[in-house]
Order: sequence, then C-alpha cells, then structure tokens
Amino acid sequence: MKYKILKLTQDEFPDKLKKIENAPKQLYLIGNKDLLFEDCFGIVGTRRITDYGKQNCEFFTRELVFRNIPIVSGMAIGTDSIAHKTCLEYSGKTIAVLGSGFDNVFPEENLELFEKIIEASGLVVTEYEKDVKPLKENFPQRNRIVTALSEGILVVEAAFRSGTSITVNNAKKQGKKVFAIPGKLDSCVGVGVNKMIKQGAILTTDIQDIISGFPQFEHRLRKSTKKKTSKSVKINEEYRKIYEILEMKSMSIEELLQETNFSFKEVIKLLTKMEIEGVVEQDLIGNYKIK
Amino acid sequence: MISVVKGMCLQGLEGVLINVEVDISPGMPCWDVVGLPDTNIRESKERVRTSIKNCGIELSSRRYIINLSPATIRKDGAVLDLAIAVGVLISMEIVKTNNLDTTIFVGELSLNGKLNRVNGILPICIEAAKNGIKRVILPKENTKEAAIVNNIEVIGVDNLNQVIEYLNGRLEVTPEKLDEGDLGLDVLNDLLDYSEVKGHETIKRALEVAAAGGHNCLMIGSPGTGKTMLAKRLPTILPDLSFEEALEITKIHSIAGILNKGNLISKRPFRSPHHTITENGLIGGGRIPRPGEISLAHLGVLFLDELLEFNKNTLEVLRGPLEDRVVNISRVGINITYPCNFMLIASMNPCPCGYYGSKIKECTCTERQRILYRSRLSGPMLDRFDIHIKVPQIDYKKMSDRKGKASCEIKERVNNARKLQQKRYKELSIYSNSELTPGLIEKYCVLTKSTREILNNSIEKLNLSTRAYSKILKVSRTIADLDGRENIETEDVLEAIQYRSLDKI
Repeated sequence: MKYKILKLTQDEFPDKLKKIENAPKQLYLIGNKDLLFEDCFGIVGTRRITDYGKQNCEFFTRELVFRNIPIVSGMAIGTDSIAHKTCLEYSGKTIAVLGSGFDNVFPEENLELFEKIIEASGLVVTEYEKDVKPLKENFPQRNRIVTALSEGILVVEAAFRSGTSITVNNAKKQGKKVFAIPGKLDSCVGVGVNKMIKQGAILTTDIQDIISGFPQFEHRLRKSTKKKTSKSVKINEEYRKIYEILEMKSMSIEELLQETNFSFKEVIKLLTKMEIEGVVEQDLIGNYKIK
Repeated sequence: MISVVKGMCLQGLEGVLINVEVDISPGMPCWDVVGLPDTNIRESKERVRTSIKNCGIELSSRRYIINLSPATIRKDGAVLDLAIAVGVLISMEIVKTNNLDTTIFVGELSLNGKLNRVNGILPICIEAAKNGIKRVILPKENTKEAAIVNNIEVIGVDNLNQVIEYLNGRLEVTPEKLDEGDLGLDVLNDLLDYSEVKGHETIKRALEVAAAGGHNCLMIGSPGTGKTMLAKRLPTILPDLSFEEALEITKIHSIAGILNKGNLISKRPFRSPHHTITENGLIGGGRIPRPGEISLAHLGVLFLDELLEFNKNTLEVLRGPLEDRVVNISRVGINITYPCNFMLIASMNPCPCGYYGSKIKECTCTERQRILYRSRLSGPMLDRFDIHIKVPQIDYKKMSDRKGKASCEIKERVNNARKLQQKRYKELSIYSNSELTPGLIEKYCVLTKSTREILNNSIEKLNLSTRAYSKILKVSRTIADLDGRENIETEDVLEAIQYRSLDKI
C-alpha cells in the first residue's frame, strides 16, 4: 500500500497537530491529504453501542455530512465504524485515525471499510510505522490525534471510565468543545456519557446544539444528499397496507397478523414477495423492516 | 453328565442364541467358565454357586466346566445366570427334563436364589421367536415386556426353586398373556398442549411443517421468548406410531434399561439432553456400547436446547448419524449398529448475551462477538436444518385474551400429511419428505415454470445458498402435503423461503 509521510518538522504538517502537547513526530497518510486542513468534527463512543446509540450516531453523522463537514473517528468497531459508514453512505468525507501501522489494520473486519474510505476520497492517518501492531497502549494515544484534528467532538455513548473518557480529557486539554448525547439511564454505556454532561460536556439533543457552537459551521447550508444505495422503489398496490404499517415500526409476522386482517398465508406470501423485491428485510430476530 | 441349555445375549439390537454347556466330572474340585465370557459373566459363577447352595442343594466337590458357545462372541451381562444355574442343576440330575430344545432361560440371580429383572428383554424375545424358540423362562418383573411378543410362551418366575419345581412338573405357571386391546401401552396423560402457548402462531405453523415432513428445525430467539416451551410441546403434534415403530422404540429403550414398567412405548420419544453431554453419551458408547441419546430419540425428537453451548466436537459427531439415520459404534472386538432416525430440534440465542434485537433488554455484545458466536455453528451442521425460525418477543398483554390452536387440531393435519407421504414413498425405503435425496426431489417436487422462476429469482435476490434450494423444495413439498395437494403451488414455495432465514446472513 502506498502511503505518504509527513514529518513534524515539515511546513506542510498541519498546525492543529503541531500545537498539541506530545505532538506526533510524523504522520503516515493514505488518501486525501487536504482533509487535514479542513474544519472537521469528531464522533467518538463505545465499541458496545446499543440500538439507541446507533440511531443517534447515524442521525448526527448524517446531519453533519449534509453540512459538508468531514467526520473524524478511530475506525474501531461500534460507534467509530457506524460514524464512518454512515458518512460514506451519504457521500461524505471522513478521516480515520488508526492505532496501528498500515500493515496491521485493526480490527481486521474493517479492512473493507478502510479501502472504502480511501476510495471515497477520505483519509486514513496513523502516527505508527507500517509494521506496528495494534497494541493496547496505542489507542489512548491515537485519541489525541482524533481530537486534535476535530474542531469539537460528539460523544455518543460511553461507559464509566472508558477509552472515550480519555478522549474527552484530551479534548478538554486541547481546548476543544465536547458535546454529548444523553445516555439511557438503565444502560451501562449511558453512565459514562451522562457523567460527562454533569462535568460540563454540552448536552446535545439537536444538531443545532453543535452547529451553533461553531461560526465556521453556521453558515453552511444543509444540503441533503440521497442515501447512496437507496433506490426509489415503486410500491406495488398489493403491498401498500403492509408497507405503511412497517414504515411506522418494524415488526414480526405475528404482530402484522394482529395489525391487519390478512391470513397467515397471505402475510407470509406478501412478505416473501416484498423481500425478494427488496422492499423489506428481516433482522436477526425475525422482525421485518423497510429496507 | 453333560447338559445343554439355551440362553441369549444381546449385541446391539441383535440377540444371539447362546448354548450353555455344563459338564460335571470327577477330578480336582474347580468351577470354570470358558467361551469368551466377560468379567461379569465370570462373576456369575459365584452368584450361581451361592444361589444353588441357598436353595438347599449341596454342591459336591467335583470339576464343573461351563462352556458358552459360540465361543467367538464376547458375552456380557448377567442375563446368562439362570441358564448356567439350570445347566448345572440338570447335570446334577436335580432337574429332570429333556424337553428344553425350544426354551431359553434369561435372568440374573441373587445370592438367595431370587431372580432379578434384566434389560433388553423385548429384543431378546423378538430374536428368540425368530429363531424358533417356543418358551422363555424369565424373572417375573420382565414378563409384561416379554408378553408383547406373539407366539412365544412367557413363563415368569420369582426364584430358582420355582424354576426347579416348574421344570420337574411339580408347579404350574400360567404363561403371561396380554389382554386383547391392552397392548401394555404406556398411556400418559398429556399435560402439555399448544393451546397453552399464546400467540406464536407463525412458530407453531413452522413446527407443524417440521413435524409433518420430519424436518430438522432450528429456533433462534432471545431468552424467555418461549423456544423451549414451544419445543416441549412438539410430541403432542407428532404423527401416531404404528405398532412396528412402537416395537422398535421399545426395543432400544429396553436395552438401555429405561423402560417404564415394561410397557410398550406408545408415544414418540422426546429426548432433551443437557448441553454438558459427552460425545459417547450422545451417539452411544462405552466399552460395551449402550445406545446414546440419538438412538433413544429414534423415531422421535432430539431437542438440543442452547445448541451453541454444546461442545463443538459433540455437535459435529451428529453429522454422520443425521445423514445415515443409523450409528455405527466400534469397540475392541465388537461392532454395533443402533438405529437413530430422529428429528432434530435445536434452539439458540442470537448473540452471547441473548438480547440482540430484543425490545426488553439492550444487547451488550459487540458485532465481533455476535459473529464469533454464530460461527460456532459450522456450515455442515447448519446445512442439516431444513427449517430455521426466528422466535420474536411476544407482547403477552396483547396475547392474554387469545387462545391458541389446540394440539389435536394440528396433529390431525400432520397425520394426514404423513399418510400422504407414506403412500407416495411406499416403494422406497423412506418415510418422510425430509429423507428425499436429490434425485427423488427432482421426481417428487415438481414446480410449474412460473413458480420455478420465482424461486430462482429469490435465490439470487436473497443471496440464498445452493443448499437452500433443495431444502426449500423439500419443505414446500411438505406444505403442499399439509394442504392435501399433489401439486406444489407458488404460495408453498413462498412460505418455504421464509424458513431459510439463516442462509441469508
């Protein structure tokens, strides 16, 4: 894989990284170098993201992408991957900061994502030489680059005393704004993020909460781009009823039987047809949802 | 004087007629058993000697040689005790009869001469009748089980003294007979019924299809969604047993010694071993191989709850028996085949914590953990399930007023569908749609052109594997059978596609 090296001593080395204490001595880059000089926004959070967190992560990423703001994250599983993927889905630009060398992309299953980011003129950055293994201690280190590259960061979900809290401390040290989405009270990954809010992170419930904090973002117009993969499907009249119900809420065949007065055979026939035509899909526990 | 008495040993399901020859001659006092006896047969000489003594008969200090022929077969178990004792008594001329050519003796002796029950009486009697034996003398406790077999006289006795008296014609024993109509059927009141399961109509339907075609079935769902409850009620909708099938099941249970009061088993077995079971426990084994859970589930259901908690190797040994429907167990000097034509029902969680996608509790697993968890089920193993069903969480508040379909209603349809299959496959040696081979699928699962197109289209669009193709055809055949139709319609195929959900991931 071809990569470029940017030394701390070089003029091209981005100022925002030079400024931080313990600045990386060099950066290894693959992809669109220009992103280093744009005003980006970081999205961080737990690897054990819940459905609630996933929804929020997707929503805020999307809204940021609509305003043409590049998203920075760490390409770990969970929150990071979702942020990157959502960004790509809506043709946004994204920077991934790795905690290992380019020969040891971690986690391995994100290798595809890695390639996609580069393909979509995104950027992958690391301070480690190509043969460095994904060591445990690299990741907290990597987080300081994530925050340095971002104007501010958004915490989606975080457990108490997690890697995310290290990122947040880095951000504070670097004088970056920290935004946090309130976590669920009964969820272990809600505890940490709620604590951050108590300690001064900006409570974020709306995209405006983030945008209004940055003059450079405020003038950007919201331009919604269509989801890359979505095709406009013409809904067959036959499917209308089920489609409308599923649009509101995903549900199992059982619940559909209750909501409609179709017979079991009819429902199963229609659902299979809709599935074949790519209108609906079934999740792992048997609920159907609109694709 | 030399005497010859007949006994019987079991090798797997097969009984082997054993000639017990006893010779008493003058010389150095000794008592020897020859003819490849196993340890517990060697020990039987002590039991025999003591029990004869305790019947008040004095054994003289002479040379007792007992030969068990054919000598090439390894004999095991205490079933030969009685035959040896009678042989000795004849040689001592205490029992005076020469009419024993068509009689076998089966039973284990206590030191006080009492006869104890033995395992495997039913297969012994069936085999004996086949070999032209007319009379069997056995422990009283075993008589009911033996009486299931026709055309053999069953003489039940309590102790060795009674045997002597009976053989010498001083005691009358009425042969055990089964009342007409009372086949000794093991009637159990069914406490379980599908009407108790509220909602889950889709799952019940899937299980109905599984029962009708004998399809293996995998259920995926979070804890508490009712997977086990649904599976436990499966026996209530399984097709009725024929007498031959009942006999076959009872034979295996008889060997394993778990027959309830020696009655004929009238219900399809439902075995649900715990997930700590070993390979040998599952497929059968031991030094002298015993039937394992899969053989005990013969013609019934093997339910593996929490499938992925089972040891991976333990699961993999199921692959062969699931295809062959018999299991071959080889040990030193012995090679046994047990039948195991069972229906496999398994349940599993969608992820390690169990709550992926659940509305009740948040899942705490990472995507990687989920993938690792599911990869514990190997492809070939997944391949053996015809039907996959996802068991969703049911809102019980909404369901409380609804009454589910009763088991008897479902069972009637299942029975009819099975009859159709039996009629169709009469010439072949298969019983249900699940056993169709690729060649037979082509012959019996004919689709119209338009239906075939829909199926091909869905295979492509839904990313189904090629193995899913034949499974869908088999399951659609069963769905059509449930409706009593000879032709497979489009809707049958569309429903069958729903039962292949795990192939998509």
